[in-house]
Amino acid sequence: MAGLSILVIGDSHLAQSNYLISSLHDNLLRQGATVHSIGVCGVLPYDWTVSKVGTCGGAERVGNRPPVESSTGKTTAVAQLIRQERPDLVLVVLGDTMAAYKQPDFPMNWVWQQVGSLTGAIAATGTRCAWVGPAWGQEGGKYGKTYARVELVSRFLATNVEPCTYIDSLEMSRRGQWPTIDGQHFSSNGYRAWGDGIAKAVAKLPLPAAANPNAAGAARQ
Amino acid sequence: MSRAIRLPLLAALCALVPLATVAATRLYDTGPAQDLALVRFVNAAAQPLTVQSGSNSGGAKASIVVAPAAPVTDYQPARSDAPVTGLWQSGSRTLPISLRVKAGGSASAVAWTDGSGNLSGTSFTEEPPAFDPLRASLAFYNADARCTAASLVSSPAKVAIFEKQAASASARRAINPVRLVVEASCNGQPVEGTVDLGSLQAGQRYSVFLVPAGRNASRLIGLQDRIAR
Repeated sequence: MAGLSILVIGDSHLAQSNYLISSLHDNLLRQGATVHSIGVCGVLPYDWTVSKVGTCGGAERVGNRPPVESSTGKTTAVAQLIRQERPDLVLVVLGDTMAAYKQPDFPMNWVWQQVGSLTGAIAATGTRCAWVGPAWGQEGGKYGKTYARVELVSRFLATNVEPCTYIDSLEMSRRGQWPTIDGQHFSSNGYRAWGDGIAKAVAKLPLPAAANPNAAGAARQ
Repeated sequence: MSRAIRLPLLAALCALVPLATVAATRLYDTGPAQDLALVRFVNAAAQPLTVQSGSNSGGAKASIVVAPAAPVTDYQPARSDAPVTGLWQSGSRTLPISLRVKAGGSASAVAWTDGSGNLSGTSFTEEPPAFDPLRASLAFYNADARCTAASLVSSPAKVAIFEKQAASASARRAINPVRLVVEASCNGQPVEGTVDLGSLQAGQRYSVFLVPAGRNASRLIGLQDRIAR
């Protein structure tokens, strides 16, 4: 992974300082990648094809700088980010915000459209991408997470994120193994384990060996 | 008095646990209150057909041209709380479209021209499909009213996939994710031509339409289902 530039975009799991924006970002940095991470709380895949202010804050981190949290965090269209930063890999961390945990039926058509909007936008740029699906979390909590629904979301994403490679977070832990604060968001230990698991999966991707010296926030580090 | 006791306790807890560790993300919705309804349009004619949304009674209208070279549009989101209305158009000739699609369900409106250039059509509505991550999903739509018993088989092995499907009926089933070429029969007579669906992918949806093709003839249109991005 040394020398590769990675753009990480996602939802609330990246939107606080001790979430994946630290654990995953740090792990990718340690492996030699140049990393730019942006998390906006509560957003959906389509929101990353436009600019949209999140409903509950966000965070951004460039290279070795610390994360910067914002109550007005917003997305930037992924095509614009790719055009500006020319990353070797776009890593998408989205799943829980689409799961409709409290709805009896999985909104498959809607998720299909949401996922297609973002994978299509990335594919149009020809940039390699990987999609990190949701982790088990713990059942219940204020989001009403269930193991059955998170498994369904994960399996749907696994077969619908092409041309992105799917990274299955469910394989990284047992159900409920990582402690959460609300069923969905993990404690620092949980995010450390998830970040390590994702970084290991990224390291196994068939990524190009050559680095782009001008990419993924390198100019801002 | 009790407040005076609790405040130092809270302060002590905060001193022991990093603030970020206990800072919960604010609540947000996961998923929509209701799934999308989807609609798509199939041009089974030999010339381009236009689909115009809305009714003649007013309201915003949009139109798309469906070319014979790409005869099936991507699925478009549609209303589930009211009929989906529109028109097929070919020159000055029109054919009304009126569909009722459930949230999570889908519809396919099919149109063609007869020997005198008049527009004819039919439509199919489907319930929300089951998702099977290990298998592909294949639908067969019999849009040829002349075919009162339409069947679809693999080619060349002729393994039955759909049997004796009534006119204007559709069905969907799970199918193993294998390379698949299909052929059809209409009232026991073979339909000319095959459709190569390629290597089916688990978790993906595919469709085959049997449509009229002139006097006493039918043909197949097949594709992997797509949703508009």
